[in-house]
This record gives sequence, C-alpha cells and structure tokens, in this order.
Amino acid sequence: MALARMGHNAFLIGGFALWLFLVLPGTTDILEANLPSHFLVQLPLLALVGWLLGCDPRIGRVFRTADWNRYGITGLVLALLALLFWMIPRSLDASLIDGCMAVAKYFSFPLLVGLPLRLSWPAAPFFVKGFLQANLLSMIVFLAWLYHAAPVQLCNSYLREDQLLLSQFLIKIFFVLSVIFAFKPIFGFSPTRILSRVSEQFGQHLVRYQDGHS
Amino acid sequence: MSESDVIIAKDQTMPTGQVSLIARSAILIASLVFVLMMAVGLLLRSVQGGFVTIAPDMFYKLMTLHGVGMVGAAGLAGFAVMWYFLNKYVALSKAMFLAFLGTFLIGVVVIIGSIMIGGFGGAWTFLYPLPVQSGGVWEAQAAILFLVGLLLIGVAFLLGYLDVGRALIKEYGSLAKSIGWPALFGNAEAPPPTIVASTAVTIVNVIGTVAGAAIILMSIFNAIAPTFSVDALLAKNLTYFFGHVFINASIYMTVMAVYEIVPLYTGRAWKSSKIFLIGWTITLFMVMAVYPHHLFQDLAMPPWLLVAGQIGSYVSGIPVIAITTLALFGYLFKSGARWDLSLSLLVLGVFGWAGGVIPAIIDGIISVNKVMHNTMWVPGHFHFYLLIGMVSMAFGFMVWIGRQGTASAFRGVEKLSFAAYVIGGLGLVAMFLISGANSVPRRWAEHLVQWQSYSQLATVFAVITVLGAIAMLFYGIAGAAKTATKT
Repeated sequence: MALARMGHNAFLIGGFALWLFLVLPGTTDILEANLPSHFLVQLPLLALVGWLLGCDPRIGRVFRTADWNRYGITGLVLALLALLFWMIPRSLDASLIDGCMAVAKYFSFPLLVGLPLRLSWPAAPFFVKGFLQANLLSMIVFLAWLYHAAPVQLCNSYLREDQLLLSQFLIKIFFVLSVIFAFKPIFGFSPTRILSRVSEQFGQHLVRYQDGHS
Repeated sequence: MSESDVIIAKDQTMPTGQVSLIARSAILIASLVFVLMMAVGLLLRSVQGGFVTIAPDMFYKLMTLHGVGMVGAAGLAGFAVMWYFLNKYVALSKAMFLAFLGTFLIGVVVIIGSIMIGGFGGAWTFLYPLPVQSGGVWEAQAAILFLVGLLLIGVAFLLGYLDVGRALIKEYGSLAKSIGWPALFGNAEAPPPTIVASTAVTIVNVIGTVAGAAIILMSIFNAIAPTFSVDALLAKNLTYFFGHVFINASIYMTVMAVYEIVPLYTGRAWKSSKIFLIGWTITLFMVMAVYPHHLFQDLAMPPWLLVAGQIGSYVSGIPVIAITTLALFGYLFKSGARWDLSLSLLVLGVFGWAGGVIPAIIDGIISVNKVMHNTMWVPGHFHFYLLIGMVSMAFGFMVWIGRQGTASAFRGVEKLSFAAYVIGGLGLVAMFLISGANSVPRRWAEHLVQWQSYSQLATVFAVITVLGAIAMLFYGIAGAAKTATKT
C-alpha cells in the first residue's frame, strides 16, 4: 500500500520536477533557441508533464468516472482545441515575446493538452482513437508542407531555415509515428512489448551470468 | 411457381433483418447513382459524337460529375457488399455504417453544389494546380467546396474502415491474423476469403485516406492562400496514390460478392487456400506500390520509380485477379449451378475485372504510355474493369440480395437485359479502346469530325448499356420491394 502510494506520488513528483526543469530560464533558452526544438521537444515535454500528472489514479478517478467525459470525448475535444491554438505559428511566436503568452503555454500544455489526453484516451472508443491517429498523420504532412512552402518567414523569432528544418523533422516523425500507430493493429501487440521482452531476457541473462560467476 | 423457376440461392448464415435492410438500401443508392452517371456519360459521348451540343464548360462540369459520382458510387457499393458479408463473421456497428452513409451523402451534396452551382470542372482527380487555375471558368471557392466534399467522403470511409478494423481485431486478435499470415507461414486455420480480402482493403484504404487527406488539405490551403504553392509532382504522387488505391479497393470489396454468393450456386465453398492467401498478401503491397504507372509522363519522376511502376503493373494483375478467375472456373466447372441473372452478372464481373487489366497492362508499358496515356485508351481500360467488372458484380449482389430464398428463373426479358448490358458495355469499351489506338485524345469536349464516328458508335452502345442498367436497377428495386413486403 505504502509502495503503491509512493508510486503514485512518483508520477506527481516526476511531473512537477519535469515542469520545473522545463520552465527554468536556462532550459527555455536552449529549447526555444530554434523552431524544431521549440515545436518538437519543448511542447511535447510540456504535454508529458500533464500526462504524468494524469497517471496518478487519484486525479484519474475523478475525471474518468465523470459523466461529462464519457468515452473521453470532452477531454479529447479540449486537448484538440488547445493544440489547434498552439499550432498557429503566431501563437508560438507570441509565447517568446509576450510574458502572458509564455505563462499560458507553460500551463496550458500540461493542463489542457497532456492531462486531458491521459485521462480521456483510455476511455475513447477504437474508432475515435483511429480517427485521431489518422488525422494526426495527415496534419503532420500538412504542417510539414506548410512550413516548407511558406514563401515568408512565419515567426518573427525564427528564420526561414528553421522552418525548413522543422519541415524535414516532421516528415521523419510522420514515418516513425505511422509505424508505431500501425504496429499494434497489425501485429496485435504494442511495440513496447518487444522492448520489455528484450530487457526481460537481457535481465535473465545477466542474472544467469552473475550466478555463474558467484 | 413454374417449372423453370429455381429457388434463388440462400444461405441461412447470411445476415438478415436490419443488416440486410441497410445493405440493400446502400446498394440501391449506389446503383441509382451508377445509372444516373451512366446517363451523364451517354450525354458526354453524344456531345463528342456531334449529336448534341453543349457549352464546353458544361461538358467539363458533367465530366467531373460523372467521374466523381462513379468513383463515389463504386466505393459505396463496394463498402455495402463488404459490410453485408462481413456481418456473417464479425460484429459490425450499424450506427457506424449509418454515420458513414450520412457523412458520405453530405459530402455528395457538397460536391454536387460545387459543380452545378459553383461551376467546378477540374475533373474528379482535382490535380494541382487545375482546381485553382481555372482560367476564370470557376472561382477558388468552388474548388474549395469540391475539396471539402471529397474530404467529407474520405472521413466517411475512414469511419467505416475503422469500424471494420475494430471488428476484425476483436474477432481475430490482429490484422496479421485476419489476413491469414499465421495460416500462410504456419499451420493455423485460414480465415474465410471475405475476412482476408476485407483486411487487405482496410489496411490499404486507411493508408490511402491519410495520403488523400494530406493533399486535399494542402490544396484547400493553397486555394485560400495561393502564395503557399504545392509541389506539382508531390501533389500528383499523393493524389494518384490515394485515387489508385481507392478505386482498386472498391473492386476488391465488390469481389467479395463472388466469394460469398457463387458457392451458394455451386455448392462448393470458396476456400482460403495458401495460393489465395499469398495472392492477397502480395496485393496488399502491390496496390500501393504500382501507382507510379499513372506518372509515366512526368519526366521529373525518379526513373527507378517508374521502372518499378511498370514491373509492378505487370505483376500486380497476377495475384488476385488470376487466382480469383481460375478459382471461379474451377468452382463452376461441372458444378451443376443453375444460371440466373445474379450468377451471370457476378461471372461477367470477374470477366470484366480480368479483361480490363489487359489494356491496363499495355498502357503500363512506359514506351506505350508515352503515346497512349492521354488518349481514349485509358478510359477504355478503366471502363472495362469498372463498367463490365465492378458494376456488374455490384448489380449481381443487388439482384441476389433482393431475391435470395425466393422462387425465380432466368426469364427471357432478364436474358435480354443482361445481353443489352454485355453488348452495350463491351461495345462502349471497344470504341474507347479503338479510339485510343487511333490517337483520339481523352477529356476533350469537342472532337474533330474525323474522330466523331467512334463517338457516334459509342453513343449507340452507351444507349444500350444504359437501358440494360435501368433494367438491372428495376430488378434490384423489385426484389427489395418484394423482400420488404415479405418481412
């Protein structure tokens, strides 16, 4: 029981620690220095903060049993609306020069994207998940094209070269995510199961090796 | 019941009740669209033949309507066939099918509005930059509306396929199992042919829809903000990947009617042999890999991709088509099957599918394609495997589902209607191919006098085809009405 509580707290502590790390001036300077790291590292990590908070069953219980979040629809819509706002280059740009927008970003990504996603995703029906995954893939290609085809610099804070670099990264992410999304439906198990089996076997080998030498 | 009457094949395991009603309604809607679009096609050929005169912009509007209407109806008919037979094996959601149908029909209304009110005439392929560079014939808003309509239809199919995927995974554990890989590479029991084919179709069409949605979003954004230009070659690759996969998948879905209905006549179950499983696994990859054969005239394409497209085009016909055709011969041979309209249409469909591939493979040769691709040869090949192939199978399903279990015979008037459809259809296809072989260009509103005789003959054949198709629709409606009265 105490162990379980410690595990729950670990998610909360981990989430807060990650959030503190991300809002440290030094970290923000590094992550916001160029468009790809801002878009593809800082924002997902801020969402991960919310995801970790949502892993605490005490928070999860409140939301999952709520009538207003049946099938996770409300939470997913909330997360999508928040993402929609932050997908606009202007919003991202404003977060670099406007303190209020920066604060909004640091709070909204964990609380309006990561947390609702974690709490709503497991409750969502298969077709909602599949639809959102397919939509995400199309949108990644679209965004890659948008940043590549933009005839002008979209953000005041980033050069056009940054846009082109982001576009290339997005295409790579598209292929990686396509494989990840397709893996479980096709093979019936998550790719993480392979990793856990490999690490399990590695652990068994290690134990045997140590036994052999002791 | 006369002596010539036979009880139309019925299987007690076939879905009944609401599932049957939904499938019947969907196939009737699709067949009605087929007939209406055939009438539009007849008008187009008569304009090219000089029998009728309409303004060129109206010609292109009608050509767009004909193309998008036929492709949409083919998708709907195929999905209805697949959905009906899949219900034998897995639990599909009726609500999801209705959501699919509702979204699909909203998309159809939007598209019709964009064409008939907005004046969009950039062909169903919406190939960049034509939708946004109309030379003043239509406004960008019309192109946006057309693309939004296509997007809605894509969303509709995505919903439908996701439900199919969910049901397959729930029943079989994974798509690898439902396509039969454990049976192919091991000793597990193979899933039924409908399950195998449905799995392949679901995988390729979800991938195709993602590609289609991406290029449609880009095109919409480009229409709103033209300074964000789309790379024309990228646009063509994405568009034809999506289009090629979608239209082929519609045939693959409809052929499930052959797998399920023909055994009821022959008394021989259609089995998922190892060869069958190999065929569908190869098709799963080939249908996505051969789309570059639509881009042979694009010199900027990497040569290796074009060569791969040519080789793929040769090979892609073999797995499923050859296996299905040979298997059909085997199942029919000395089976004692009593021929009726439904069985005749299904067998005609397989002939059309197999036959239509021959001019396709010829056009899939790069050196031939350079000369032939913009000629009537191309509509010749796709009318062959859609009009004679896919639509015949859809009609066969429509007639069968309305009549199953009832007393009927292959009456004289039905034989006449069937003959009209075959002779008209083959004649129309032959005129397309002969015109193409004589370098008559395709997609031209006005034809030179020297070319018009081909179109005039084609018009005559088209009239016969439309009459045959109207008769098929009548048999479908009559059968559905009889079933509705009975229940």
